[in-house]
Order: sequence, then structure tokens, then C-alpha cells
Amino acid sequence: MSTAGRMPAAEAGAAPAPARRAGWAWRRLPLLLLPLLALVAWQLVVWLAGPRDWLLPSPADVAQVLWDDRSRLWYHAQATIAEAGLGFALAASVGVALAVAIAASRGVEAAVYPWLIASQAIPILAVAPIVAIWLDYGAAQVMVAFVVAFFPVVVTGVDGLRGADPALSRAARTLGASRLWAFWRVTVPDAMPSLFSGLKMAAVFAVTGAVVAEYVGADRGLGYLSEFSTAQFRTDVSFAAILLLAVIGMAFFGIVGIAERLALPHRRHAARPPWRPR
Amino acid sequence: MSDRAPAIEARDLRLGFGDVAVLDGLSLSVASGEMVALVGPSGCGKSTLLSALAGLVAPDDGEVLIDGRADAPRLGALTLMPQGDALLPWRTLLGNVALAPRLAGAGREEADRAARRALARFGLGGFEDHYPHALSGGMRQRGALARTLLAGSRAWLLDEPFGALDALTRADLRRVLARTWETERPTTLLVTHDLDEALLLADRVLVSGPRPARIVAEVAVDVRRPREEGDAPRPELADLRRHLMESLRAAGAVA
Repeated sequence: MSTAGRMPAAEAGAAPAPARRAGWAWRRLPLLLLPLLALVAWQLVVWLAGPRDWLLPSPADVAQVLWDDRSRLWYHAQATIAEAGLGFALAASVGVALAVAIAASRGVEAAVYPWLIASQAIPILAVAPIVAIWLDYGAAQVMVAFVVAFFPVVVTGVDGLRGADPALSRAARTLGASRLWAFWRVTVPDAMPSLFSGLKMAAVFAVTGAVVAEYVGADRGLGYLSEFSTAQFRTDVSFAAILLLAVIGMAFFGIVGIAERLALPHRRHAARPPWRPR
Repeated sequence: MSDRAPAIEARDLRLGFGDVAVLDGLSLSVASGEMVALVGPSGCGKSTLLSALAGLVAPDDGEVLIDGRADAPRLGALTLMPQGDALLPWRTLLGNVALAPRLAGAGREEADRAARRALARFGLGGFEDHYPHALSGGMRQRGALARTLLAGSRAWLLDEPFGALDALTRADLRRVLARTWETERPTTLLVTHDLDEALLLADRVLVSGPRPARIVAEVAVDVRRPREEGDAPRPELADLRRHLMESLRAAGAVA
């Protein structure tokens, strides 16, 4: 029997490497479009309206600060990265454990899930100052980052586990797999794509959470630096700090994205959706 | 692999979900090394029957006997091949097929060797490292067949195994199954709503009425194999097919 006639698209010929690399750069060009437009508009406003530099510094002023104050900025960035990273790690581990417990037990679901959702209605800005009073500098930032980041992990984890295809674990069971094996090796991997969506959101939320907590009480961190500089009318420093925060947020998102690609290699080869032609 | 394929018997199975009776006193038996086909209209409870036989759900009443024993463990002893291929999307074809011998207790290398052999046997050599989504429906179902074969149970429950395939691929897979079954001779219960599939493959065909599932007719297919000459079914099958159709009509399964 021949299978050649039904060879799938995976075997399709690869384009020559240089042409492909040029295409790669070309496809990513739109990435720079918005920042460039914003930069041009910003510079135009500075030239045409001529505001005082503490009201709106020019892009060049901010670039100057980024270079001149780099060691000070890096000192504060380290704190924010550590707080957000720790908060995210906590959110990921506690969130996944809670999602598993909720998906596995109706009792846990009934007792915990509704309160979890209710807890998200509490405005974090109102709670952050209280957390800052309770905990030391640093610990308060980790705590707030954790609180805002763990919700998307739990929700996407629970949805992923519930949405897992029961036919897969049934098949594994009839092949002799134990209930536990089927859960950890079939249901959990099946939930991973959904969970990673939540982890990517959590990674960005953790950065904003840490910054919010730095605003209300800290002695270090880019959020603290931004707030402190604004109060001293050093808007250029504040802008530089915010710019760095944006980069950190993107880096956090990117790292989880890379982890996803490593953890789910089969999805890298997944067919392009039909509504987005090549 | 045991020497003798086990006999399967269901006695007076009853199973309902809420107020809906899905199985209402269903009895059937499949002798060692026999292939029995069960045909019936969609939604008559055939899949539920297979779940109960496989040990995935407990019936409300009645019992399932393996070689005459009601207390025999069934999960892992009877291999269910579902309608969808149920290949794990995150495992390669080789990883999926090797899962069967691994779960049956084989070592990794031994399982991989067996899986490679089985894949080659089903015309899937060279596709070991492909993920399921990169394969056609027919290739995935061949992979599922290879996995069923390597489960080593010698008792197969096939749930409309080719139901999701196009007609040409379906005929192709039917021949692959026929050949595999004739060499292995596992005890097999094939659930289908395709009369031709039932007649071309099975030793006996049971007919179920609409839900709740009950056996309303039985036809022995004493036609020698292979039952296709060229691409056409043997002429003896035509009479049996008419008879099956009448039974289904009498049971109220078709208009």
C-alpha cells in the first residue's frame, strides 16, 4: 500500500535560508512601526508646543538619562525584576496547585473557586498600601505581584483541565494506565496550552503588581524611582523608568513564550489556521 | 501476550443516565478468537456498551464475564479503539504507539522497537517522528490500530473505528484491519453502523434497535475470507445484507 499520495504538508520543501531570513525580518517590521510613530509625534509636540522640560521632556532628553543614569536605573530595575520574578514564580506554583485541586475535587471547587473570583473584585490599589504597612519593603511588592498574577493562572488552569479531551484519558485507561497516570500524563499535558495563556498574562501582571506596590511604599525599584522623580519634577527620569518597565514586561512575556515553545514542541509544527493564509 | 484470546460475555447489562435507560438488559457473547459486529442506529448506546465492557463505567446491573469470570480485571485487559484516533497530540507517532507496550510493562527500548515494527507493518515507516496533527486521518487511524495491536490484550473493542474517514480511506483501513485480524485472531467486538463493514469483517452480526440497546436479531456470516473479490463484496453477502436491513427496519431503527 502506498501512503505517498497522502503525504501531509509537513514534508513541504523548505525555502532557501537567506531568503527565509529576509522574510523573517520583513514580517517583523510592523513591530517597530508604532514606537517610531509615537517617537516622531512626541518629538513634534516638543518642537511645536515647546513645553517646559519638566512637563514633557524630549525623546533625546530621555535617551540622555537612560545613558547617563544607567547604573542607577539598573540598581532599581534589579529590584523590580526580582520582586516581579518572585511574585510570578509564587503565582505559577500556587496557581497550578490550586487549579489541580479545583479541577480534581468538587468540594474544593465549591469551597474555594467563588471566593477566588470575588477576591479579584477588591481593588489592588486600595489594598497595596495596607500590604505595604504589614510587610517589609520587598516582601510587600512580591505579595502584591503574586496576588494580581495568580488569578489568570488558576482560571486558565481550571479551564484547561476541565476542557481536556476525555477520550484521550479513556484510551490511556484501557491501555492499562492508572487513574493517576492518566491525570498527570494525559489530562495535565492536554491542559498546558490553556495554562500557558494564563502564565503569559501572569508574567506581565506580576510586573505591574510589583510597580503598584512600589508606588505606595518602597525604597527601591523602578516604580519607586518613577514616583520619586515625578515628585521632584524630574520627568525625564520618570519617563526613562517607565520605558524600562515596558521592556521588562515584554521580556517577562517573551520568556514564558519561549518556555511554552520548549514545553509544547508539537504546537510549533501546528498547521497555520485556515483564516490566515501564508 | 497470552496464548488464547479471552471470551467476552455480557449478561443482562442495565445502565442509565438519569431517567434515560441506555442499556436495558443487554446480553451478548463473543467466543475466543471470534469477531462479532454490532450494528444499530446512531445513539442507540453502542459506545456506552463498549465503555461498560472495557470497565470504564460500571453498569447499574448485570455483569461482564471474561473467560467465564465476573471478577476479572478489565481495564487494560480489553483494548478499546475509539472512533477518533485518541492519539496524544504532544507525542510523536512513535511515542503514541510505544505507549501501549510501555503501559503493558515493557521497557523503553523494547517498546520503541515493537512500535517501529508495528508502524512499518501498517505502512507508516518514515513517519515515526511526526506529530499526529501532521498526519492524515487515515494515517492516524492506522497508528491507532498499531497501538491497539501492541496493547497485547488479544481482546479488542472497536468503536466505529473508521467512522470519521472518507469512503476510500475507509475501504483501505477495512482491508488492513481484516488482514491484521486474520493473522492475530483477537476476540473482537466491532461496533459500527456500516452494514457492509460488518458483513465483510465479522463472523456474526448482531442488530440492536434504537435506544435502549437490545439485541433484536443475529446473522451468522458463513462466508469464507477474503470476502472481497477485486473491489466488490462476494455475492453471497447481498442476501445477508437484505436480511440485516429488514431486521433493522422491523426494530424501528430505519424507516
